[in-house]
Amino acid sequence: MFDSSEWLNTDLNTFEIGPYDYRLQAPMKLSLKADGELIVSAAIETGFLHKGVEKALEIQKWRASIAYADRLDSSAAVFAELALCLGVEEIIMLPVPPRAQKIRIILSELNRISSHLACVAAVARSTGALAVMHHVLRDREQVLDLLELVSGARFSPNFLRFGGVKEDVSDGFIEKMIETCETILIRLKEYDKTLIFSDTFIGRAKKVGLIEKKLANETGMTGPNAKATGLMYDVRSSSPYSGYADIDINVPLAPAGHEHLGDAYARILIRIQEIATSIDILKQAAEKMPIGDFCSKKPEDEIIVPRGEAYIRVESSRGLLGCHVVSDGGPTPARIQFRTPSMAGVMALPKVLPGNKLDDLSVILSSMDLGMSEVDK
Amino acid sequence: MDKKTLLSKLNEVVPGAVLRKQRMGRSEMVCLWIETKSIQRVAEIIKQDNEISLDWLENLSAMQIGEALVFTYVVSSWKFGSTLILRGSADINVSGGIVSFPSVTKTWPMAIAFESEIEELFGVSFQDGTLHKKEKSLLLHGWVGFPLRKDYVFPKQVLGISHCQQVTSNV
Repeated sequence: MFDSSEWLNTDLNTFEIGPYDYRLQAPMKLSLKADGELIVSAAIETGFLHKGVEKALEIQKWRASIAYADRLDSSAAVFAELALCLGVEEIIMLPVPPRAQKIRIILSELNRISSHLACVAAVARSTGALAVMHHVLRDREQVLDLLELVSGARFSPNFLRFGGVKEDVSDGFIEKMIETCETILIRLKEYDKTLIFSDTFIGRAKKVGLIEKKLANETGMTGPNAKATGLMYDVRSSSPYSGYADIDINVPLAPAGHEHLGDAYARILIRIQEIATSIDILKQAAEKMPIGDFCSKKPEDEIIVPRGEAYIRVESSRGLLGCHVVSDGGPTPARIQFRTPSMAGVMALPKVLPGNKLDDLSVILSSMDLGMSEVDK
Repeated sequence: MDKKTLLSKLNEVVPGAVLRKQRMGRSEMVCLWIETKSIQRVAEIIKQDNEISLDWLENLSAMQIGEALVFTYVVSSWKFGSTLILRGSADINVSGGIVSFPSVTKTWPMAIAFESEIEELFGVSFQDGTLHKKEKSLLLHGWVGFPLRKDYVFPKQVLGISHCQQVTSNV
């Protein structure tokens, strides 16, 4: 006779992970049910990084609002600044000098590279490739150095102004940037050897965290996560802004029928390819950098924004970042709302996780690169 | 489909639903003001009609203008690459009260995230949708009021913790 107390409990196990956990890239709470190692259902709770950015923006004067837009997501701050500036410039019909447009493109692409490298480092860490993680973070430092050289800050640069940028780029910056671009291109090949084509990495990322094109479509997913499913959308090429129309952009896309379509591996591949695209854009911007003003007005001047509104789209490192700017003619914005790309990833997560192993949780989350700061606002 | 044909189609299928047509700010995007009770029907039509196929709710924002809440839907088409702005409004007739508005989550599932955020920050109850989450997701549990309304007054304390700097005379 068996004693029933010795039987294995085969019920579903419930796990609550977060809001702070080493497997999570940012604060969130996951409630998982698992059958052994296999996740069968998942629920996500957000809001742990809510800063009230949109309310704070309504209280600040127009010029100060740029610094607050930075706080939407500190790891990709330039994009929120740019979206806000483009919105205000559209309302007041403020022209932006061509040189300032190119400087904005340079800042955006540097920020994109920095953000993608952070994601690659996080994935390397979650797959146990710690040496690669350190190498990637070392290379990211060089990109952050460039951002510091231009704006004085490595994160949250607060460098864009309505009508241009705060200052011109310093002497020797373009040369330094090209040098860094060449270094990163060499490093990308090294990542191929040490990470992308490594059997260990392929084993951890292949067919893990599969996102189907239909799910990406339903949740409004954009950016590298959507491109990895074969969904082609990039604001820089579909509706160019801020001088991107002058630049040839080779948008990477996972081909239909590819064996890695929609998995964690494809998401990292797309990001690596996007870094190469950004380097190409940086080189083109450097070549086409015109001589002239860096702002159409004094950057420190307060501005008067008449009644009006604008809806602006920019391609952030995580996808489509929308900004709805409304002015009632007063000294402060009437409403500034951001449409953040990571929101779609958070929506998709409860459908992505089931069917995967608990061990793969950190690989899935890091490969999706969810910016919880922008989700929680 | 050009904008005139779209407008005539909407007027034919849902007469009186389109209240006004304007441009979105200085952009070329067309903005249609829709009667509140017809929002769901219009959403269904512009998504399901093969010649319009506005299948992607790119953004949904809310803002308070005077005593009204204005909802702005940015809707795009994967198929044609076109964009349309829809607008609806609801009165804030009760101070601090919840405002009811039709949900579009059955037509555009991605609306869940936007509606959830607006529910919490503006005090809106979206009706007849698929959003069942009633707990707060952005604000602290126990938070009172709707921060993005214009009449919102910041509390001096939250859950017993003061967030206003105390000025002392001997400093």
